[in-house]
Amino acid sequence: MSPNGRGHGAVAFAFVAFVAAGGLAIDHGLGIRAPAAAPASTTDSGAWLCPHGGGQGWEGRLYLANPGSAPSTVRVSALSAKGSSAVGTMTVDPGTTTEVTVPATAREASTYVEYFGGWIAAGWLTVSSASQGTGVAAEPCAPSTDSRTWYTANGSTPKGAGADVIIMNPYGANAIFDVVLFAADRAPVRQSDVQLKPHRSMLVSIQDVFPLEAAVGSEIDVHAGRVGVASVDTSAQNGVGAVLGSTSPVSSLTVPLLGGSGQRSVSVTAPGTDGIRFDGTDLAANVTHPPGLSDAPQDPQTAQSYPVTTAGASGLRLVGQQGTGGSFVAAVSSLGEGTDFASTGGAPVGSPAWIVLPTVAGEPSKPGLVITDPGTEGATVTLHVLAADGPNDVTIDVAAGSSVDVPAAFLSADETAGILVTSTGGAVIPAGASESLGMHGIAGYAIAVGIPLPNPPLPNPG
Amino acid sequence: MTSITASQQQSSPVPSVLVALVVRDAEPWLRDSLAALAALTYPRLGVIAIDNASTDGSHDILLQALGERRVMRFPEDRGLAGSLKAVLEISAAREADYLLILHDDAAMDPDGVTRLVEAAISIPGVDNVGVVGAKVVDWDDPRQLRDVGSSADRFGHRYTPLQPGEIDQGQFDRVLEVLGVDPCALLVSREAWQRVGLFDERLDVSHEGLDLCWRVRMAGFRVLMTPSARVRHRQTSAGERRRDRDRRSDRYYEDRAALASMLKNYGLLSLLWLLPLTLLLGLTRLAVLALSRRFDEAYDLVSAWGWNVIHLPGTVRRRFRAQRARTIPDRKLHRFMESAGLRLPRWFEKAERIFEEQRSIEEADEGQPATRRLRDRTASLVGDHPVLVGSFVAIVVGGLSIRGLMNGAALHGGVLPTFPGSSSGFFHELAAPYRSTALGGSLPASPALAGAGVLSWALFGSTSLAQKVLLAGVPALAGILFYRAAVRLTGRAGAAVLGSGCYVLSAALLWPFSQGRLGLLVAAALIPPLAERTEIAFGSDEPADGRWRFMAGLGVTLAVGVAAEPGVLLAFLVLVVVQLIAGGSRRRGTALVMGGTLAAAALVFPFVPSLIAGGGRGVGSLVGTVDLSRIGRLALGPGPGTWLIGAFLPISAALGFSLVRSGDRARAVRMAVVGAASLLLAWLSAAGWLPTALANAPVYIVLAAAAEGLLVSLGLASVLGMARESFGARQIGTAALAVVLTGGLALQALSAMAAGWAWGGAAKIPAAWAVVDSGAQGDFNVLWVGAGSDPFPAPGGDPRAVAVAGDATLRYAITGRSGAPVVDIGRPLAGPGADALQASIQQILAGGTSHGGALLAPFAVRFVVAAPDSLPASTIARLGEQVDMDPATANGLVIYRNAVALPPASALELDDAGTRLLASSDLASIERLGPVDATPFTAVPPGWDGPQTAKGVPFVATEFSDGWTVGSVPPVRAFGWATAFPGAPDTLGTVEVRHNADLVRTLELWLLGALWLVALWITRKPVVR
Repeated sequence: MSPNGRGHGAVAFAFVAFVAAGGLAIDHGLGIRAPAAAPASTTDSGAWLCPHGGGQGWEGRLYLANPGSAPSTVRVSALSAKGSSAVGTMTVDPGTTTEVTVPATAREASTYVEYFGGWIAAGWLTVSSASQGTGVAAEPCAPSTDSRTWYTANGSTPKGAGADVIIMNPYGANAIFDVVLFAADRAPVRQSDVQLKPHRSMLVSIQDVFPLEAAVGSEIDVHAGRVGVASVDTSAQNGVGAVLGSTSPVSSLTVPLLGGSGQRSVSVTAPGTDGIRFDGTDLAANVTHPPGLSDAPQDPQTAQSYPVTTAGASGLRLVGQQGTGGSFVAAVSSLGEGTDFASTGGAPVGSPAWIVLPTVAGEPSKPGLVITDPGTEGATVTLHVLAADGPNDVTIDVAAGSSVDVPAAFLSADETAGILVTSTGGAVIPAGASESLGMHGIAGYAIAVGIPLPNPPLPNPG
Repeated sequence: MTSITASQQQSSPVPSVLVALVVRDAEPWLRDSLAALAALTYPRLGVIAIDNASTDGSHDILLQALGERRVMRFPEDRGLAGSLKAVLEISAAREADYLLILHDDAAMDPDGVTRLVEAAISIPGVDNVGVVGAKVVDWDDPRQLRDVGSSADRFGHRYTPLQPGEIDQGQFDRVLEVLGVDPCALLVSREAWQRVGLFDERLDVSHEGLDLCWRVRMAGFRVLMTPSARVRHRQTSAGERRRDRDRRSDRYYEDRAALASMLKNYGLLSLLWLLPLTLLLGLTRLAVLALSRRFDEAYDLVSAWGWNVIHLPGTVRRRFRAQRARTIPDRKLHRFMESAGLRLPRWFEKAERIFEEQRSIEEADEGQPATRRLRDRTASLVGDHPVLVGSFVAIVVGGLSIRGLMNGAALHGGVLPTFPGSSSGFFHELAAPYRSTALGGSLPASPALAGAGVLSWALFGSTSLAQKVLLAGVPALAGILFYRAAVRLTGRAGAAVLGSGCYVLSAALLWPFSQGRLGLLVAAALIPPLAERTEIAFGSDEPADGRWRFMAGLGVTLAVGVAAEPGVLLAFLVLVVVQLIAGGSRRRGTALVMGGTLAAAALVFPFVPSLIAGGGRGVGSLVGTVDLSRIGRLALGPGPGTWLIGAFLPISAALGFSLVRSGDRARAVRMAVVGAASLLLAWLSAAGWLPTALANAPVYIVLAAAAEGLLVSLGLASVLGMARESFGARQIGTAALAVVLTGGLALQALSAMAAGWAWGGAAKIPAAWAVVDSGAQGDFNVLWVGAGSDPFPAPGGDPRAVAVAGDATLRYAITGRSGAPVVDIGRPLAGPGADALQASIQQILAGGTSHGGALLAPFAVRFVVAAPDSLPASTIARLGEQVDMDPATANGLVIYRNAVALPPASALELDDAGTRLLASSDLASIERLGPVDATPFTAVPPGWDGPQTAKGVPFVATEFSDGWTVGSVPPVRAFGWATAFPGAPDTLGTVEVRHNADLVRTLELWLLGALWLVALWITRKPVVR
């Protein structure tokens, strides 16, 4: 090879090396260009699923509260086993609460709420009026989710009582799922491949499977489609309690409690393959392992009822012990001063802003709202009534690890309005807990935990 | 010479022969011919000469030699057949036992007539001889054979067993029974010509002999060639005289005569299958001629058919006579004919010659070691005939690679675009003033559709067959065009063949082939010629075929490429920029390139709006990879040949680059820069650093492959003759190149032959697609989404646009239910509809809405589909939040079904609120759209038809245009971009949504057609006459 040729060869390989090295340098130095952020959203819509159930002579109400600054258009549809029907389309003005009557005469009755233009909170209140007595149940609706599992914990089937799991499918596709029921000392019972057509709701009767059980939990495993789930209990005296299903077991749960006779029962379901052991704390008395809430282990795939007695504005906090593995689903049933009882599932974590929807079914009434601070930092809470002519806001201090009830005078100003609860400092968990109807306003008793505001939208109590 | 009289003929046992000498302007050789005539020794021979309007001294020569009694003269040219017709009117001719037709440029040996007559009457067991021909040799060099009898193929084309210039070594020295003999010296018996007549005067002199003999055969006579009778023949006069008359090619007269002979001489049953086959082969030939811009030859072929149509009455008359004389069926003539295929593979003739050459090498190798002989023979074969060997290997490898195409099943899979049901679908889309694919609009279709339409029309209207032909043919075309480019740049056929093999077997081409990327494959075929033309444009010499022709050729190449894959523009841009930086004659090169670009722009001018729409979105591509190892081996995705072995090409290119000699170094440096720049641009495209219009990783990768292939060719061209150099680094480099090339090509070829391509039968579509395809009735659109740069699962095609949303950013495409259509080739997803779709998708990804289904409903999107694991968690969460988009159970695909989707065209039953939504373009309003009762319309190009039962507002999910009407009702804009007719009355008969004809589009197409004709005419290949 000539010197010129050798030189060219060297240049050629130098060029190749330069290209390879340059490629590596650019790859490491420049990298992939990050995409720009999404443009600001100009739309704001969502949906609530309200599997409230019903019965002969029942009355159903929805409360829609708009904490934002823009009116929200709401489309409401009623679902039953026969299909869906439009209830109506309405506008919820900013800073107000709207009450909507919905069908609740079928046991599986459910309501689907779609909102446009701004976030709203939605919750239901049902009233069972029968000759033997009156029951009231209230719960927040569930946001639409594509969760593949749902759990309930509060079913109880003593003699004369009824317990149903209400499953609604407001979507456009069939839902196919398994229903698993858990009870104490009983093997789980699974009903496979249950199909629920679009725009329909159905019920699973717990007492048909597990009669005479103090606690029955359920797990809904969704194979196709999406659903919303709640459990509805009725007592022999026509009392009603409802708890919205949860989409995942938790390792800790706080249940604000107020009013009633003080007799509560905590239903705990361990749906997983591991047993659980948890610590229960009465926040009012600041007592861990109060009577009835022992730290005895609970077997996997069982549901267990634990009786507890608390009084006044209180709260129960359940925390799974570390190392015991399993997580749990729980709900608290609380006996009212009358024959009705109230049920609630509480909340796993606190939040700085909540909407608490009405739990008063009518006059006479004893409206109540309890705020629990489950954390270690005290909170200063401002309450704002979401009504056109609501009372002035009030501010309440809540000590860490305690519960405080809201003055009845403030709540009585508009018992059908939602209340915006905002906290500075520690996160809180509020719940409405009211008794109403009857001769003395204690025939019906309902507890409903609040609905945390999403982030955003930012509240504008103005 | 003996004078023939009737009394002598009747009293003698020796058959009488009348020589009919036909003369025209034969003065230079006529004396020799007459001398030979005079020397004939046959005892009963008469002569009559016909001077066919000679204008030279031929007549005087004839009078001197034969006297006035034996010379007839016509004042006008009657041709051979007309002259003989006059001869037959004299009594001597009618009474002669045989007529010997003799051309004026033929000279028989003295015993020639005797031998002819002997063959006719004296061969034991051979009777009923109608025609006897002589062994014809060259006038000047009697060792060269000119004719020993001929046959024809089934389509009437003459076939001779002789090779050009074949030497007479006695190889044909036996009496042969043949189909035809040379008419320059043809002995025909009285019985024969009286039954079938003589020549067809309409045919050329070169073909009328075969036609006569064919008819004689049909009548039951034998046709013999006797080598004992030898005649020297100039065989130039007729052709020369004819060419003086007109400019037709020999092929024109051959085609004309062949078809006429078929029509006259075949029985009806034979014609029933032969005529359609003739038409098919003719159309194929016509297509090949047109595609290769041999327009003169194509015109000759059409003219030959036209001549037969015009002369059909005369042909039919002659057919009656020929068929009346028929005594034997066609099948008994087959043994004198050649199979149809024998005309086609001239290739084998060449192969035979090569093997002959190998035999001579073998003989020369006697005494050499066997291994050395084998090596030398192989080297000789490959070295002397690289194209032939390369073609053979290509046929084997290609044939095995495309075996999956050899069935009747339709193709699916990869990103293979969906073809329309009929060839008219291409033309409708091309001519339509609106876009028929998802979201509609007015962006014009690519002119490439005309080519696809013509191809599918030529293939019996089968678009699926056209799809297969394109898929199989374009890679082969890429190899051929690469070879042509490389051989022009290197001057070495062997180097060009190997470079072509590297190119075709590179991962850069195997990946698009596997994916069924027809547009990219066309680009791959045209990028090498573009590279070559830019080299020529900026080279030191003027283009050999002139500047205008060069620019037109460049324009045609660029236009075809852009029409099929607009990204070709980017490859061309890179080539030009490199030439401007490192090229030679920049001024001339710039002028030529600009001229070519302008020509290309003119040739696709209606398509230009599609190229620039959306900021040049159609030019770019969203497919790519940032994986350096994949880019390095030119593999943008998975598939056969994209493995590590694919790195053989860049390694070979580097080795080739290092071996290039000084003469080619500048060119090699430019190619190396092109290759390196292309790789960099491919990475930048995929990494998102280039503007949309400049980002096209697949095209850059193909350009890199072309540059690397040319580097291989340049390197190989430089190492030829290296054996004379002393051993050194150059030899080591050459050996390394040989090893890498051999191993790489062999393994890539094996990979291709054993490949499971992404395309194939219906199984190539994910089974979960059935959820979409069979789970829904009527028409609908599908929104394909994915976060990466990979194509969507079949039949989604490639991503066409991006919805930017931070971590949830999506690439997407919208198609009909049958997938990505080929009629959208090169046409971007751009326009008001595309913008509205992008805004809707971004709203979903931004997280504000839970009613994404309603936002997608106006686009008729019934399904949102993604590949498994192709969506980031944030996107899945967003989609899961949509209350009106239901996740479907489908293993293999992620599918969401839009519960509120509108049909692409329908009558919508809307309340007042719904009517207000229809008129709104505000997404916050549109998301309130709930389920709507809709009566779907049926797509009936050019529009849609709705049933009489349809109630409500006619709506079509196509971009708004004033041209759309329902009856006389004008359209209004729906959802800000689509089209609705709120003024249309309810249920007053069938709803017909139609688009007004667009005169401008029609004129554009006519003008475009005219421009292509001009361009192709300028660049036509000269015809060989």
